[in-house]
Amino acid sequence: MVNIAQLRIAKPPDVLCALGLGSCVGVVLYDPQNHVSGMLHVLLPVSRESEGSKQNPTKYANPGLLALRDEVIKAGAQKSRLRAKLAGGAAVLISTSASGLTVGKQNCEECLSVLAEMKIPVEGQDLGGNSGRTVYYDPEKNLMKIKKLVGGESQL
Amino acid sequence: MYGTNNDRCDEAVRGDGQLEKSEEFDAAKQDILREIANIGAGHASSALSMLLESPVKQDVPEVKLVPLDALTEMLGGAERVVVSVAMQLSGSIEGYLMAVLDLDQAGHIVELIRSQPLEPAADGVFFSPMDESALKEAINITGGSYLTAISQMTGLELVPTAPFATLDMLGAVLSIALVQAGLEGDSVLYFKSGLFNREKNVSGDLLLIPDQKSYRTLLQSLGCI
Repeated sequence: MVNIAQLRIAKPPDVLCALGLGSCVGVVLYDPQNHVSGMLHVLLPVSRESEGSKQNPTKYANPGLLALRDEVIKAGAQKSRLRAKLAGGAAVLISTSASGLTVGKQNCEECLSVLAEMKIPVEGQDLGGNSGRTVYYDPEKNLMKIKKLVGGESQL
Repeated sequence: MYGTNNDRCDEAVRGDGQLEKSEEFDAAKQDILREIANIGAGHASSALSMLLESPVKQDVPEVKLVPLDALTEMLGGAERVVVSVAMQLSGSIEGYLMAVLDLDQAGHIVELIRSQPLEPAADGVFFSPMDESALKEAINITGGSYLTAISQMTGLELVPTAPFATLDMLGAVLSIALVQAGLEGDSVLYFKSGLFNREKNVSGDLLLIPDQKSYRTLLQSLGCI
């Protein structure tokens, strides 16, 4: 179970899961050969230095994803083999005046741009939309399962 | 489950973050904030009583400071399917006021207010436009009373947006409020008041989630810091 702003590493037969992702994004980095995987539950796109929340880098896509990469490598994944799958970043509460409206989108963009910077190929993504998601990741099969309240289940 | 949650709450109070310091959130302040929630919810419940034409009672309000990830657990888990009607707050206090209801409860409230069964809804949505509007209006009036009471007590200005309604997993609807509360800290302060009417079998939670700056503003206005 990966709660908001958490980072977890798993190896088979364990399964990673993030429940009820709204504007948050669940990002999985995995090594498809030895199945070492890690998931980050991103709440916000970028850490602003001035906010003094450096004690919790995993709240942010940047630098949280860097921490995730380091952790999966430490757990035995090969840097050159790393792949990514991600889901989330919905705009759940639709209101023109809500500042939270674009957070989902910003989260998605930041995650993708950090992954591109780290040169980690994105093998699958299910981002945006208006519906919350629950995401399961099975390291054994390198498979991401996504459950939506509206729209049912899908796989990446 | 409650035991674990309380442990987590204590943990937050003892932590090193800005808001987590125990002198910032001690039992005395918690009591004062709970009293605010109590009065706010009192006004909210009498407003809802008038709408439902039947007395609505309130539970003892919960005011807690918890780690970001603990809030959804305390409200029934991230996957709990809820109808949320939320208003974003601006003015002296920023944050969110939201009503969190089970789907059948939301439907029940709409039926009571409109004195007629739910209208059939179009594909992909859960309420007809009129039904959704009635629900939003009910929460607007209830939440508005809550905010007005707090505003009168503190002299602070609380300006809500028009309410927006959504049906989704709890984790998803709360993440929006968490994003704002989480911008500056790792914990979130929430006020929860349960409103219920046994006779008509109505119940739901009203949540106030101020951002971290507003928490200080609130305490200052009450002469606590």
